[in-house]
Amino acid sequence: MGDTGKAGLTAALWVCLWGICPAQSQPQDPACGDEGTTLSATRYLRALSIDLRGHLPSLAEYEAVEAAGEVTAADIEGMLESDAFGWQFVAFHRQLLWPYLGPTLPLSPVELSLDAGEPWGTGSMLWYRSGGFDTTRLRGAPYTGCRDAPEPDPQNIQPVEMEDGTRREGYVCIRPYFSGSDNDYISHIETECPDGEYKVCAYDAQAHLVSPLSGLPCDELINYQDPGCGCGPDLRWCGGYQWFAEPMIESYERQIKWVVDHDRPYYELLTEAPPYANGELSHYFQHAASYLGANMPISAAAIPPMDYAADADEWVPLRVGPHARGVLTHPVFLGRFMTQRGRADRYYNAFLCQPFQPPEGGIEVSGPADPDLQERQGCKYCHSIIEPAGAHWGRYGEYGADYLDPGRFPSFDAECLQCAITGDLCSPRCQTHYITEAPTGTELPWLGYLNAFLYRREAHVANIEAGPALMVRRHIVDGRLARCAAQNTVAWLTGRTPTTDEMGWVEALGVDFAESDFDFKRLVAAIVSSEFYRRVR
Amino acid sequence: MRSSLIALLVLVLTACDSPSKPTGPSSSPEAPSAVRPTEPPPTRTTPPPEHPTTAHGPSTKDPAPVNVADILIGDRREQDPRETETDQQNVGDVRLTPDAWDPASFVRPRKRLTVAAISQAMRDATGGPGWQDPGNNYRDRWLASSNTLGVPDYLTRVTADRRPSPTFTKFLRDAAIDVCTELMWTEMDPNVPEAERDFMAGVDRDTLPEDNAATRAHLSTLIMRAHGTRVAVDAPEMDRWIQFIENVAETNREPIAVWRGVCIALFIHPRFYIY
Repeated sequence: MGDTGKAGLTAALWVCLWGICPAQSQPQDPACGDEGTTLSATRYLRALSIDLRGHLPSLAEYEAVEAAGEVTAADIEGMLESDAFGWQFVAFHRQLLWPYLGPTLPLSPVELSLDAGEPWGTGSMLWYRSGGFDTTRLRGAPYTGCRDAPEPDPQNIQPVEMEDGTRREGYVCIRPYFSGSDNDYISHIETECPDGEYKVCAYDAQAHLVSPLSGLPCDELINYQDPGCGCGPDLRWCGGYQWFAEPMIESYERQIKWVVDHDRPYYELLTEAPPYANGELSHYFQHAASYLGANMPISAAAIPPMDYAADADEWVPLRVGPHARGVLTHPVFLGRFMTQRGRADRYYNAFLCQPFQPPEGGIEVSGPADPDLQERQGCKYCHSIIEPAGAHWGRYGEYGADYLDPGRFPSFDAECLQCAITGDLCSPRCQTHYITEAPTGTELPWLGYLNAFLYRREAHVANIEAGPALMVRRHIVDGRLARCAAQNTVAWLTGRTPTTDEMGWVEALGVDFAESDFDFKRLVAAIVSSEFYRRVR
Repeated sequence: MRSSLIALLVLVLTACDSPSKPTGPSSSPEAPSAVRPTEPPPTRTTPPPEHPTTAHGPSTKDPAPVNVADILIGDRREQDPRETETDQQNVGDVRLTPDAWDPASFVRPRKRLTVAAISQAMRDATGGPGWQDPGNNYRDRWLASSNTLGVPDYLTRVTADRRPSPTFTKFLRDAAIDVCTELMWTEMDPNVPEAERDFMAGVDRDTLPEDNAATRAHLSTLIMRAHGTRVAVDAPEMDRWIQFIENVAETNREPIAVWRGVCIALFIHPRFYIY
């Protein structure tokens, strides 16, 4: 064992000798008993700083509290006004909103591969489309790049027959849109191209918006195998796997943070907070999203011009319509909770503290299986609530983050009804978003309507058009949102769910929270100023 | 003394005997005793029964021949229970048993620092770069270990594990050793200017720390930074820190080793990661 190990072991031994209860070693923090003990002023400051700012207090802050003898209300207010508190607010909401982006959303542009050789950097350093792109049609073999020579006339590509039987075109030099960004990790390597430009196979470097060979549009992923289509101007449709996932998550988190940064009522987190974009997302929404077939609530028209690399750290709130404001309509939320039921379930759990659970003793099931879950025995206990609640997301597609704009997706579409009743092949649009089949017969009245209308009762149809904001407004009025927010915040700051005995206090906090127009900082200040927060065991 | 005992005996016998020996007011001695048998007054609030033959219930015509002790409190006679109002009154819902009070209520459990917070706290407490992986572009090793340490990824795990588990304490010890070793090499390097030192600011790099005012003052500052607790230079706890220094110095006479030990001890102390 080296010196380091010895020192560590000795230190560990000493800490064990002092006991697992650190407070026992000092008079001002004396107990680990059930009754708890009140934190000293400096330990209280430390706890506040960790919870509200995510870091330890400075020595100067400790000394100021020692001099004052107490943590003051101004100290707490200072923490709540700090930028760091905004990120703690975000971290708290991660526990409620579970941000995760898998392959649900189309966030990967057409992948580019690099022939870097082995060891790395000894290859041709040629870029070519890969991933799902089959090069057999272009070059006579799968997963094959071009030859390491300039293409004489990129507008008239002439591949050369190679000894291995493949046909390979040359390369062109291009400065891609991601040049100079964190995703640009080879522009510093010296190649035959000028600084900052990449060697890209000529077929893949084509910038046509319409294929000169077929006349098909090149700005749609469906035509990307067309020999006349490439990666577009500046390679805008190509890139790396999940390049836009991380910025998308940050857009979501900045949307959450907006509420405390701007001292807005807490409920605006759900209804008003704007999504954010940086240079990377600007590129995504302007060029990649539509190419990849995404029809998200955030449209390209809402995106200000930004540079992919230079504005990577520049985040701006987007001016979007009500349908795209609030975290409940952000692509990350829609992608994480892919179905209307899943979205309603998360909302009820996280913001109403109302999980869908069967009663003790289970649910009695009898009778025939009604296709309408609001009526089916055994299902209706929860689904009589879930179905109309989920309808608030009726204009947001499932298994993705599409927004079904009323202009393009009317509630009823005669074309979709027509194909449904004639047996003609329905368009992908109808198949995906409209009711075109009636397997049990009970669906017949809704043929041709958007999926969300199926089995909707008259009273719930308005939910579809009004969106999640209507649901949130109802829960502002009935007090559930405020009560649950208070309960969640108490749980966050005290480290456990409130006990039955504490619910009266939590209730009062919720009432005060609502009366203060959902002032979240005031709610937090009330909790961390309480003896409850300061009393630990 | 004897007269007192006799008086007490009389009192007890009289009081205890009264229910079984009904006597009228005339038979009651006018003794100046605190307790004397008396005939109960008729109840004021119970109306006379319509049917005197009712099996149950008192009757004003035929009061129960029961004597009760008349207890004087000061110069006031205690109210007889039968004088209590018996009319039904609506006082709302009343539960006869109180709610069980959970002793755990309104006391919060100490919390373990989150992985992100402990990474930051190590940097705050030392002024150093924290736990980094030099072999991986100086990536934060706490954050790289998030999955192992129970940080939710919101795909396979949606709740954070905040227990000071054996896994956590193992990582903490590894981190403490790495961070403190690197920190000491940096801060005790004679080529590093004094102004650039933080954790070891003002400490003589070449001298083994001894039990003196300067050592105690520096320890007090370090404990405050790491634990948020002011340990006075003459406090018993400070004596133990000094004793710890002396113990480490017995195994290694290098000042750098002693201060590294202090650094590690600060981090693996529960007061650092529990709050």
